[in-house]
Amino acid sequence: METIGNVRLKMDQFLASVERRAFRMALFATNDSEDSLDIVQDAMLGLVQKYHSKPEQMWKPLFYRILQNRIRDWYRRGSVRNRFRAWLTNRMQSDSDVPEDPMESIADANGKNPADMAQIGDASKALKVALKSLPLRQQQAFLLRAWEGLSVAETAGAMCCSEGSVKTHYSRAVHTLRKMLEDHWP
Amino acid sequence: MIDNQKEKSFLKNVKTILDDDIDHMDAGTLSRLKRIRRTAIEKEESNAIGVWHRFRIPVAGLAMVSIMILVMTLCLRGPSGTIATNVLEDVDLITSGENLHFYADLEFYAWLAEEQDNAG
Repeated sequence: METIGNVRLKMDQFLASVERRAFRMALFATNDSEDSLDIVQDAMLGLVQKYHSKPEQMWKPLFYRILQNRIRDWYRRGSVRNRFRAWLTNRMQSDSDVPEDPMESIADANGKNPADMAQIGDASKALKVALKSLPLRQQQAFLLRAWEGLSVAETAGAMCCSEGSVKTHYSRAVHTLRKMLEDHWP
Repeated sequence: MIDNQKEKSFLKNVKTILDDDIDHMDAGTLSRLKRIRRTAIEKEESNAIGVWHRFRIPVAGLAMVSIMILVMTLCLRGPSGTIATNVLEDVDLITSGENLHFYADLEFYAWLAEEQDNAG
């Protein structure tokens, strides 16, 4: 039987392994860093408080289920207000002289040439724009399946929908993204 | 088949870019995420301690009451042990499956019987 201290250590390690991706997923959905951090915090607290006694292999789908619920709550709470704010942020970012990703202004230590860096930078920007443009369900299904590596069943559990719905959302997302990014990845 | 391979290649590129993006996340965001994680773990620790405290008091109280009953039983026991016997009978009575209202009504039935005797 695991000691409480051991479970806490494993929980800490698990949360450290998912926190960055979770933040990015929330950011793609909300386009707001502060709200995304709040969503991730709620998801972490929810998992730790309610499900820490569950088997370790259940933590990931449970965590993402809570995350998805919080993202949906965010949308329900302030759909009009938040969408306006997100639209405004998008407009400000696209008009701003400050690069969206600060790392793009730093020289690559791996020695890639500027042309390669420009291509990667363009592809990265294009991917982010494309992901943000997807409908929420398609966006999250794609990120959970293609990036986080959840199975169809785990994704269905996280998104509280059927496996058929997950497959539909995912295939539509892939189709749309491939079309939007064909200039970068033919 | 070719399209399947193209799709796999596309998905691999997407994953690489997204992974690279979070590997270069800014220090401020990383610091806040770390703080959030610490808060969640510490909250679980304090909740666990709170639960222990919540149960500790009633358990300690129950232990105290049990000891007091035992002490009183021993102190109140007469030579024949009648009081202790009565206490034990009361406990037996309360824990039995009988309807307690029946016992409460006993006094009434006793009075009624007496009245009937007097009338008769």
